[in-house]
This record gives sequence, C-alpha cells and structure tokens, in this order.
Amino acid sequence: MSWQCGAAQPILMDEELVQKAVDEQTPRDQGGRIARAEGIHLNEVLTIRLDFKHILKIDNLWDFTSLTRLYLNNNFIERVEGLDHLANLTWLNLSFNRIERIEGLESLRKLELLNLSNNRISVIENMDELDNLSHFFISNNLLEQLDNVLSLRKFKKLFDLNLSGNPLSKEDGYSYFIAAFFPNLTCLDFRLLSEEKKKEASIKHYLAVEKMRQEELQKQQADDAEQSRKAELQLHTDAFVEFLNGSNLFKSMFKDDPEAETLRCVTGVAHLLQTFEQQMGELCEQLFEIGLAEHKRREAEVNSFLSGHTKLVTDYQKKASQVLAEFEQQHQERMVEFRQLSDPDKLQVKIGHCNDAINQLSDSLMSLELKLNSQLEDIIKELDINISDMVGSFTETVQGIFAQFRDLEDTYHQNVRDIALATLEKVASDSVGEDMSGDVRWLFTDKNMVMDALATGHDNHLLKISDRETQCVTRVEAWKVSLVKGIQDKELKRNHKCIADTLKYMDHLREQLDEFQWPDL
Amino acid sequence: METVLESEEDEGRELEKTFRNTQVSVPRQLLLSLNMADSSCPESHRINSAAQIRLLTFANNFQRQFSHMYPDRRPLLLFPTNECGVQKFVSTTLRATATVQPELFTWEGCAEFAASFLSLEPLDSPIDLPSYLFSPASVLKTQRATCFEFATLLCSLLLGVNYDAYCVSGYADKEMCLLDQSLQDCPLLDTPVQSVISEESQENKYKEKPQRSLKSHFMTQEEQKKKPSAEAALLENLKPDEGEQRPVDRLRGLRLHCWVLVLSGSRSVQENFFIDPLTGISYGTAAAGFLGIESVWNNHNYYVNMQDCRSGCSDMVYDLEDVNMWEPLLFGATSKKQLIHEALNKNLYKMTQDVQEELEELEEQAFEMPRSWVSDVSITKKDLETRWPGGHKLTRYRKAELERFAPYLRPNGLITRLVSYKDLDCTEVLLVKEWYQHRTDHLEEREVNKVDNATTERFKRGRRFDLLFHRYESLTTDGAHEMKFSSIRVDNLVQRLVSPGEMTETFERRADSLYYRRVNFGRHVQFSEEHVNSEPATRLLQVVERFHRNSSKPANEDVAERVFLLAQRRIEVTYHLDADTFIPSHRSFIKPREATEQKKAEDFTQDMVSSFMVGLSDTPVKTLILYEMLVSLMKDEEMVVHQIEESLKEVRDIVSCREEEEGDIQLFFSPWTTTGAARARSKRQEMERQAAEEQSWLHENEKDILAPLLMRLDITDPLSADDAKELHQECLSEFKQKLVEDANLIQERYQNETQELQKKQQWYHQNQLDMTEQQEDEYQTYCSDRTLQIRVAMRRLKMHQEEAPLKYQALDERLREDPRLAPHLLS
Repeated sequence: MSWQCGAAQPILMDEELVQKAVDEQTPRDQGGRIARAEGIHLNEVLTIRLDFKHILKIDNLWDFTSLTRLYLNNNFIERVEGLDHLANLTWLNLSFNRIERIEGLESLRKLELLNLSNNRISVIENMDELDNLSHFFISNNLLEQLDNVLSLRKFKKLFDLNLSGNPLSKEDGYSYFIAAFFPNLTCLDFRLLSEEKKKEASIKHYLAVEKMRQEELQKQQADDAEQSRKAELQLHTDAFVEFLNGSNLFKSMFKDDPEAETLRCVTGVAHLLQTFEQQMGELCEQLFEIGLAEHKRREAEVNSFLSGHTKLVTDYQKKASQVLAEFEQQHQERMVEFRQLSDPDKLQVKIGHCNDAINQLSDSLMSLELKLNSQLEDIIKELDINISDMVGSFTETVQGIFAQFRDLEDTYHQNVRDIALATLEKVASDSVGEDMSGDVRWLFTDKNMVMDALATGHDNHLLKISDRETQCVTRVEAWKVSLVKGIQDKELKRNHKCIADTLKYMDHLREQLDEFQWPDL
Repeated sequence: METVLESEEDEGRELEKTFRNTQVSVPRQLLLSLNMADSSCPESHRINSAAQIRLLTFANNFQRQFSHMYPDRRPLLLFPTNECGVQKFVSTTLRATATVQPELFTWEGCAEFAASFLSLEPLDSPIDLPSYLFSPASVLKTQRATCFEFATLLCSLLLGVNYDAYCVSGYADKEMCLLDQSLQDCPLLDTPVQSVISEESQENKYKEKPQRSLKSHFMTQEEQKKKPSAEAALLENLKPDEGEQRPVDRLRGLRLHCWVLVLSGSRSVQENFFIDPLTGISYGTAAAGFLGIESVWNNHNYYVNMQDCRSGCSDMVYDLEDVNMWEPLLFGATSKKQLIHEALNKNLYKMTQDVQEELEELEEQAFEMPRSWVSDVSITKKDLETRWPGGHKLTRYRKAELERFAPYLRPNGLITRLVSYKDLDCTEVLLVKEWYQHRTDHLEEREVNKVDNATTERFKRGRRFDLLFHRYESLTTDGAHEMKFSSIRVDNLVQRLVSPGEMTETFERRADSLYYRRVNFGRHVQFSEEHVNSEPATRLLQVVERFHRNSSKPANEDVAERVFLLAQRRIEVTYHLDADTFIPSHRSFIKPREATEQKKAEDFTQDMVSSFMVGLSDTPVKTLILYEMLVSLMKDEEMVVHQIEESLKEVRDIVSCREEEEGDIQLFFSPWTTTGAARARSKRQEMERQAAEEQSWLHENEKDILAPLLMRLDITDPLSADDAKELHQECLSEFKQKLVEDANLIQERYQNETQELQKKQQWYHQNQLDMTEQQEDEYQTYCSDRTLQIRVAMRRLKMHQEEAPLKYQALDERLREDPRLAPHLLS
C-alpha cells in the first residue's frame, strides 16, 4: 500500500487529469475511433476510473452529469465532497483513502453500491438519502458502536454488508447481532449468511428485534393512516365537497361570531342552535354524498371517453399502417428496379411514377388524418356536452342545497331575533330571573346593540354560505373548462404532429428519390 | 280389474299343484342346444321354491284371464324358461346387484358396460316372444344375449345402484332391434362446435360515427329479390342422397324389443327416460324409435300397459300406480315408490310404540314378489377393462366405422380407430383417426387425412421437446411440419411452422416481448464430399422478428420489427407507433465489411444508416450511438442465426425421435389395471426365479478347497479312509509350505530394504561434504521413505508370525468338518 509509505506526492485533481482518464478509458477500436472523431462530451461519460492517482481532494467532477460509476479508491482523499452533480451515480468506490466522516452524499439518490473500506470512519451517519443502497462496504474502519449500525436498517434493499476489521466486529456475537437485525441480508463480510444462522440469531435476539419491529410497524401504520387520510381528502377535493361531511361548515359560520357565545346563554337560543346545527349537518351530509357520486360519474364518463379515444386512434393507425405497408412493398420493388435500370430516360419516367405514388400515399394518409381529426373532434364535443350536463345538474343541486342553508339561517335568525326582542322586553321590564349572567344582561340593555350584533352575525353567516357555494360552483366549472381545453389542446398537438410527421416522411421519400435522379448531388 | 284378482285368488291353490311338476315341461332338445350342464347351475336355478310356484300360478292365471279379456292383444312375456329349462317369472330374473366398481355407479356407466360387454344374439323370430330368458349371471359368462337378456342385465345393475328402473317389453323399429347403426352418424365424428365467447365489451358511446352510406335503395331491393332463389338452391343441395333411403320395413311395429325405463324420483333423476341396452344410449320417452309398450316389470311387480300405443310411446304416462293405465300382476305389492316413501318415514315409525303391530299389518296386505333365483352377478375389474367379447368390437355407422380395443390388447396401444368414408358403401377412405393409450411416447391421437395426405398427431403433456401437436405430410426433414408446444418451454416457443424455404416461429410471454419470427432460406445444392452425409446446408436469406410494445420505453426506441437481410448485408429496424402518429420511425443499417486478407475492415460512417424518425428531433443522433446500435444488432443477428440453427436442428431431432419412437413402440403398464398387474406379477416371478437360479448356481460353485488336490491325486468319490487321511495331510502340509513361503518373501523384502538403506547411508557419509542443499533434501526424504518401508515390512512379518499358527489351525478344523473327509478323520 503505497499511500501508507508516503512515497508518492499527492496531486491535484484538475481538468487535465480527468480528461486524461476519460481519454484513456475510451477503447482503441472502431467505436472509440468514432467517439474521438465526434469529440467526447464529459456529460455523456458513464464510468470513470481515478484510482491510484494520489488524489488529495475530489474536484472537477461537475461536468459528469450522467456518470454512473466512479472509482476513487486508493487515493489520499480526506473529505467526501464535490459529488453534488452526480445524480445518476449508482456505484461509488472510495476505499483505501483517509476519510474520517461520511458526508457529502446527499444528492446521490440512485446510489446502489458504496465502498468505504479501509478509511478512518468511526460513525455511520449522513446517509439518509441513499434509498436504493444495496451493497455497503465499510470494513477496516474505526466503527465501535454496534447500535450505530442499526441506522442501516432503513435501507430496505440492502443485502450485502461488510463490517469486518472494525472494532465492533470483534465483539462477541457480532455476526448474530447483525443477522438478527438485518433479516434481508444475504451476505455479511463477503460470506453467505445461512438460513440456520439467521434462525439462530433471530432466536437469540428475539425480544430486541421484535420490539424494534413493533416500533417500526407502528410508525409505518401511522404513516399509512396519514397517507390514506390525505388520499381521502384529495378525493373529496376532487369531488369539490371537501370538509362538507360533518359540521365543518356550521362551525366555520360561527367561528368568527363574537356575540354568538353570549347569545347562546339566552334561554331558548341554545336549543335553536342545536337544531340548526343538526339540520345543517344533515343537509351537508346529503350534499357530500351527492358530490362523491357525481365525481364517480364524471370519472366514469371521462374514462369511457378516453377508451373510446384510444380505440378510435388505434383503428385509424391500423388503417394507416395497412396503407403504408402496401406502399412500402411497392416502393421496395421500385427501388430494386431503379438500381437495375441504366437508361436515364426510362429512369426519369419511373421516378415520375414513383413521385405520383408518393403523392398518392400522402393524400391517403392526410385524408385518414382528416377523418380521424373530425371524428375525434366530434367525440370531444360530445364529451363536452355530457360533462357540461353533469356539471350543470351538479351545480343546480349544490345551489339548491345552499338555498336551503340560507333558509335555515333565515329561520334561525328570525327565531333568535324573536327571542332577543322578548329578552329585551324582559330586561327592560326587569322581570328576568337571576339565571341571566351579567354579560348577557349588559348586552340586552341596549336594543340597538343587540339588533346590530344579530344582523352582523346573520350577514356573516350568509356570507360564509355564499363563499362556500361560489367556491364549489366556480371550481367545478373551472375543472370542466380545463378538462375540455386540455383534451382539445392534446388533440390539436396530435393533429399537428401527425401532419408534420407525414410531411416529413414524404420529404424523406422524395429525398431518397432525388438521390436516384441526381446521383452526383 | 277386481274381477281378475278375485278369480286369481280362487284358482290359485288348484294350479299350485300342477306347477310343482312343471320343471320337466321344456323340450330336451332346447336344453341340449343350450349346452348347459345342469349340475353346474346352483339349486335355485333348477328348482322353483314354494313362493315362486305360487307366483307362477298367479301369473298363469293372469295370462289366461288377460288373453280372455283382450283376445286381440299379443301374449305377454311372463315366465320363460331359464338356462336350466325351468320356468321362472321375469321379475324374479332381475337381481338387484350392487357392484364395487365405481364405473358402474351411474346409469351411463352401467348402460355402456352392458352394451359393450355383450354381443347381440338376434331373436329366433323377430316378432315372437322368446321362450327362454337366461339369468344375468349366465349371460355374463357367455357374453351373448338377446335384447331381453340385455335389458335384464342392465336393469339388474341399475336396480343395484338404486335407480327406479324397469324392463320394458315392447316394439321398436328395425334398426334398433337389430343394432343397425349404419344410418346414424358416428358420435365421435361430430366435432364439438366451440362456442365463441363474445367479448363482454360495453358499448362505448364515444366511438366512430358511421359514414353516411351512399347506397341505392333500388339495388338493395333487387338483391333481396335474388336471395330467396339462391336459398332455395342451397336447400336443394342439402337434401340427403337418394342412396340413403331404405326400403320400408314390412314388420314395422311388430318387431319385439326389450329396453329399460328409468323413472324420475330416485338418484336425482329429473325426467323419465329410456335406455336402449344394445347401444347404451339414452332416449327421451317420446323418441321415435320406440313404437309401443306391452308390459314393464321390475323386481317388485309386473305391469301391463293399458294405454293406446298407436302413436308410439310419445303420449304414454308412466304413473304405474294408476290402475287404469297400468294393470299390475300383483295387486297391492309394494312398489318402488312405496319403498322410497317408507324409507323416509321409517324414523317416524320407530318413534311410535306399537311398531311391531303396524309392520305386521303391512306384511299381511298382499303377496310379495319372492326373492330372485339368480345367483350372484359378479363383474370383475378385468371384465370392465376388456369389455368387448374378445376385447375388440367393430361398429358401423353412416359413412364411418368405429373399432374399439381393450387396453393393452394391441401392442401399439391402440384403443379406438375411426375410419370415415366418403361414400355410403364405405369404399373410399376419407379420414383415419386413431386414439392411443399408455404409450411411452405420449401419443394420444393420430389423424391421417387421406385426401390431403396429412398426418396430425396429438400428444399428452410431458413428452420430449414438450411437443403437443405435430402435423406433417411425410416424416422427413424436407417436408412441411406444423408443431405446437406446451407453454412450459424455456424459450416460450408455442408454434413452429416449417416448410421448404421458410420457417415461422411463434412465441408467447417472452421476457424480450418477441412473439414472431419468420425465416426465409435459400437452398443451394452442395456437391462437395464432406457434406454428403450431413443435412443439406441452408443459407439464411432473411429473418423477420416482431415484438410487442414495451410500454416502459418511448415508442421511438421500442423496436417493433427487425428485419435481418442477411443476403444484402442489411438490417432494418422499425419502431413502434407512437400513440398519435401514423408513420413509425425506422432505421436501416448497412453492415460494414469485415476485414479480409486483402482489405482492411470497412469503417462505419453515417452514410451506412438511413433513418426516418418521427417527432421534431432536431439534433441528429450521434454516430457513436448509431454505431453502438449497429454493433448490438449485429450481435443479436449472430444470436438469432444461432437460434435458428438450433431450431432447425430441433426439427431434425424431433423428426428422427418420432421415427425412432414409431419404430419401437412401448407402453406404460400401470399397476392399477389388471393387465398391468398381471404383467408386474409375472415380471416379479421371473425375477424371483432368476434370483433363485443364481443363488443355486452360486451355491454349487462355492470354493472347494479340496478340488485342486482331488484333481491332482486323481481320487474319485467316495473317498476311502486312507485317501482321506492322505488328503488331509497333503492339504495341511501344502498350506504350511505356503505360509513359510509368505514369511520368507516378507523377510527377503525386509532385508533388501535394509541393505539399500545402508548403502545409501554409506554413500551419504562419503559425500556428505560436497553436497548441495537439494541433494541433502532428497537424501533425507529417501531415508524417511526407506525407514517407513522397513518398519512396515517388520510389522508384517510379525503379524504373519502371529497369525500363521491360527490360520493353520483354522484350515485343519475346516478340513475336519468337510463332509467328505469328516467320517474318516474322526479317529
């Protein structure tokens, strides 16, 4: 191991060195020749070997954006750095260096193999991003804590691990410990982990492993629950009825109402409030169910359109393929004929025929495309009509239900007003009992203030209801518009592309023909 | 009805006496002609019991009254004579027989067995009732039966497995009575029409709107006018050939037949039906072939039909309890229906206290049918396997002949052969279809089409090459072959079509999504010597490969078709269609020439590729990438060529393998068949015999220690006392000498080794100073080797010295025990 002897001088990893390495690994054969002739772009290089170069610092690697394998073993590297641009790296060898800390691997999300053997690392850390890691070699380092290794458990794909030559591997039962906590491992320290050993290990560390697994399972379940909750909310949002199940709307109505709490204490109001909430809740639930059902219907409609669309396109593609296949067969024959013809006049005539055939092909393809386009436009129109109907009826339903909300609010307001007036009178005549609290009593001393509060509350409530309604209706409308627009745009693009391709193909054919006509050109 | 019964009661006792002596009423000639030794029959066959005699009295009475009341009706079959010449009532000839063979648990199995196991003996006269009816037991022995005996056997079997079955005596058409199936189509011929399961596709409203069709109404009308005439012409063609018309049967409606009626109610039979015992085929009760019913009977009672049969059996009602339609012979006897009912109510009866009384009451009611006189009907497994008399049966159908064989009867495993003909006279063969069983080459079916001369073979799964289907004209490599394979092959090959100049292979579910490969060959004749024996060399002209879409790749990079134009040194690649275009991308490569002796290898340039790529890719693809594409394509080409060679080789292998197998047909012998079991037993016996022989041979040839001495001394048996002593001494002394010689030999070896070692040591001492390290080493190893050898020799010598006296003693003892010497050496 020369670097330990210190015989060689450390060198800088400059552009020249990298370029040379790339150049060296380009093969000497035909492919290499072509590559050199075209020039090698560093961002296309897949592998680079920079081993045994006495490199001190990783540098000048930012151009290698598509690099998948990097060999930096047997150098004098002390810090892992400068790898931020190598997002496609799957294979990194940093063995036989002087690294003391694991760091700088954050952007290497595709990394599968990481070799850090024969360094001076004492802690496994900073590796959270390496989700795809399957091989991890960190033998002959300074790892001491067995528990530290457990952080590798989160790499689900890890099956090859090498920890030999570390202080921790000299502990008793080290291999059993690893085998118990890494049941997916097949290789440990370059040896196959036998099933018997795994079994024995799992018995040995049963309790600890089970505890850890329970914890992980709970975490997993919590995550899953969160996921499914989010998915459900997304579904509700897609159906434009989010937070309409339950009494969310009702609560939001009374959330910013300063006088509501005070009013609640007035006899009779609490009861009114309760019935109001119940009625609102029922209506909301109804609206919610309708929303989900409508969402399902719309989805089914769109899916049916998409399948119909695909079928149409495939049918026409088949027709076009037939036309094309026929043409190509004839074209091939003609080409063969051309090669045999020597008489320029005859050739001219033939080429004329050929041109005609190309034109004919172009015509038939174009007319097919025209037909397809009009058919597609028809069905898009149909979809637009159907979806508009659905959205319209949904909007109407929504509006109806919101009108009912308003009615409820009105009734509530009226009732509360009546009660308030009665209470006002009572307060005025001082015939209220002792059960009325000071706040309320104070509120009801001023008639204007009470009426104002009630009116503001009422207005607020109506505003909230209207807001929610507008939100729902506008969003569904917007969804419809964007859907149809998206489909139309896609169709337009498809049409353009198809026509462009057809034209391009015609040009291609004509070019070929021209080569025959004027072979000198 | 009542009158009949009353008189029956009156006259019963008188007639009883006369019937006691009727055993001898059958002419002797019949008995002789039946060739039945009386003694072989059980007693019940030869003698009527008291109950049976009483029954016969009833029957006789019944018959007399019946003929008196209905003089225009034909006589009934009531008590024909059995094989021993004794009159027996037909119901007692039925014996409900339960078998242990699972094949006979269903009516289909029973009917098929009865139809195939027996061969038909026509009635003496087609319109007269037979005077005899043999028991099922004896019918099974002879395997020959009249239709009445057929029905009796089948009915016995069906009653045994709890069907509500009856024998029916009646009239049927000529074809049915004489088992003439030449007007019917062979049931094996009509191939089941595979019902095409229409895809349950929901009608999608987003579909292509039909183009407005510009069609003349006038034209359509004209066309419709033409249609009827064309249809009429078609119908004309469909009319059956004249040759198929048969002359009208003069005896129609008079021909007697006997078949089996199965009534609904038991064994989950839903509807009444007939079984024709001669063919084993079931018919509805309204089938046209059955022209009338005279009487039906089972093992409990006998019923005479009182319904009008002028329009055949179609309007018949089978409610046997109804005395207006069916006149029972034993009035009040239990019927099957009652039995079923009783079985259901049995549990209830058990509950009640006075069970005994009630049962007695029931028994008092009427005269019950006595037990069957027929001895046990036994059907062995062998009977089931061999089936047909002689294990072989030929049936003629319309334009077809069906031959069936018992398993293992034919050495090539043939089970069924169906020959279908072009014409009604069965002269011109159209198709020969053969079914096989138990063949080691897994052949199940072979169809030889004589018209286009194609042979189609079908195989069971699990044979070599996973071949399932093979169609060929001639079993040679040159001809056309169609082969289908089971889907478990490693290369996922499903079908291969080989014809001269072309081979098409179809694959399924391959990982590389290849599904089709077509190869075109150009043949060129080889005249050179070394190719004479090998297969004619073929040159690949073109290989076309097609792939399924792999949706993980963009369409522009997903190859749909590869064409290797080997002759033109070109490779053409067509890519899959994108979702929204009509024109696929394609590339065409020209392979650069390889290096030859004269020239350097051609360089790859951009000109060698002509490509058309869809989409708006402005940047041209780099030459390096194109080159890499070409290199991988060329590699693939090599592989494809190799695979094609393998395929061709496999075709040759299959053909030669099939030839070999056909040349030496072997059968599996399953130990669960009687033939197989018999074979296994004989094989084991043979092995045992061989083992015994070998044992005895070994025993005889056991080493005789005295043999060489006896020969040398020329002493013959028996030994005299002197001879024996001499022999004994001689033997011992010789052995002693042998031991001494052995000892000497070991001693000599020991001395030699020691001497050599000493010599070497001396040489070493002399040359010790001027010796290289290597020589020293050699010497050391030599010395250790020698000392080891010496030590071994010493050990052997010692052992020999210890063992020698023991060995000597052992020989002495053995000699003293020898039977030839022992008597003389006792002293």
